[in-house]
Amino acid sequence: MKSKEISEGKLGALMMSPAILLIIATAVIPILYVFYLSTRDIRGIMDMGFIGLENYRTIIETGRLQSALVATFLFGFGTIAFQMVVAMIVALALNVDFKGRNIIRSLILIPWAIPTALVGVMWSRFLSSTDGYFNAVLRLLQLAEGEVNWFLSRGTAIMMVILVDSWKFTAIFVMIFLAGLQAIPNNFYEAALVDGANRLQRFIHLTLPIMKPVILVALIMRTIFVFHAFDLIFILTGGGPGDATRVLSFYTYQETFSFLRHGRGSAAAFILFLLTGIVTVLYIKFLGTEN
Amino acid sequence: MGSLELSGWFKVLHRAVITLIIITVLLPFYWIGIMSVTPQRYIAGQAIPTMIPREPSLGAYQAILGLIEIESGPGRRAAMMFSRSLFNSIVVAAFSTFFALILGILAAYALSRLDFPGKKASYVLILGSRLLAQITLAVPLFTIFRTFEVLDTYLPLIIMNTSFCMAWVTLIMDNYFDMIDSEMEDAARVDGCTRFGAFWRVLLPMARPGIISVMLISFLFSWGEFLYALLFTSSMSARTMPVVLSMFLGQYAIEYRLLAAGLVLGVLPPVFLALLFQRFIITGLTQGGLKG
Repeated sequence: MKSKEISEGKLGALMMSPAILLIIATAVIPILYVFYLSTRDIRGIMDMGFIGLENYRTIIETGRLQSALVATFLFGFGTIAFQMVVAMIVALALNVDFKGRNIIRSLILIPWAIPTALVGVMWSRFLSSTDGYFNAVLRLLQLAEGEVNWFLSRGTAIMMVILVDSWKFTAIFVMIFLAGLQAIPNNFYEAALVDGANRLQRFIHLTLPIMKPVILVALIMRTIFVFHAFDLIFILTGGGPGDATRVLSFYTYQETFSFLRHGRGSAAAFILFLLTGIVTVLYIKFLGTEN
Repeated sequence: MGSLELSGWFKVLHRAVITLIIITVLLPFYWIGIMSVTPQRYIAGQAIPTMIPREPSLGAYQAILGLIEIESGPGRRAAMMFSRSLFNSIVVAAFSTFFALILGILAAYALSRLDFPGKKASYVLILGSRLLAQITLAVPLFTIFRTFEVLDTYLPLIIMNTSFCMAWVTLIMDNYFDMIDSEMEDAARVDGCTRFGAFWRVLLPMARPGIISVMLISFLFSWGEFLYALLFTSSMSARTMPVVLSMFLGQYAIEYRLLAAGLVLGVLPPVFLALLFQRFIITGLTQGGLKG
């Protein structure tokens, strides 16, 4: 080894430092700063000083935080449950040999590749109560009459956000599930065939248990990203009707950038950070035990 | 491979599922395509907007790209906004991808091949930063960028996209480097190559498929990034395409076909890239997703 060569430790630190510096500047400092802001009474551009945890108390006492948590939970549970079931069916269907399998596999990647905001704009047009294609199809199939506004009632508004979200994001589950399914060796199934297990039994007793770690990782990953959902809600519902789709991320946006209450907005942002943090720690712990 | 043969009514069920997948994915694109070439009167205000082309023309595409003049004022303004936003999106996505690749690949090499103080902490910091919701950082970042007077320029968008994409690049490339045997690099070093030389001339060329996949994922993310582009811009000097299209939505003076043509132009690059490089993307995503 040449003595003039830089030591391993130094080279490692040197190559890592630009990335770490950027993360400190764009994530660590902002997180500390958001906590600082959350303890201050800020309205518009006026900072009226330190008020302790008053902002947190206000967003709880007005019930806004709770309603945002409920919306987050409903949306999160809905998207994940729906997408996992659909993705498992799609993955199973794609795990079969058939003509055009590769084409279909590329096909499901297309919605995922499209920017979420554009997915929102597209579907917002389709879902228009007066001249949208979605209602037109329902009318043609005699499933609906007149103008149906999906964003007027709480239930259908949440449902539509979940459906549009699923149009784009189900692909991630499909890809992960499919990779898991293809890793199962064929002789696993042969043994079960000898035992005379039928298709459903094989799925429940063989496929699902083997897939459990894959399903769990996908589940945790998507749970973290549920907290990120913003674009679709901003474009499709604006948090409405009422507070039905005002998830925590959207509520944070609204407090800060619509009502210009940076203090309360920061409090909501910090709670969002804590929630993501908890799920993340669970995720890292889980990965640690898996490896 | 866990592929199975099907028989009987399972075959029918399978066909049905596949057909449903095709319709669900493609129908929206068909609708958008029809909307982009059809005159307003066949769609706007129609209980059943036309689903077959009527008097089709590519006028909306020419108009929104500024190739032909539009008579209506709002339409002309929309076309000017859209073509400018397309330019902004390309600039932001190109620079973000470039910087994210450089920072991320350097960090990934350090994580994969080198032992250095603070390695574990670095890993956790990078993984953690990827998982933060954008909106959590939006509040303080807005204040910070305002203080530095860089709001409404490309800078905040490029910085933030670089930061998010770099985390992806690092994690995926770390996995990718781990899968490549270090034998070749060791051999190169015995031949007198420095450690960095072995990384640059031996490892990087071998890691090309991985680099392509993270490049695409970074580009797709930056191309579609919405929240920061919405919050940190206030005029057409830096506003990107997703923000401009979302602004068209509420403006009834803008013809649907202009909106639809804009959508088609906005989704074409990602769709094209995804189809062309699907294997790279799937590998990148499933590895990044499965192994963290």
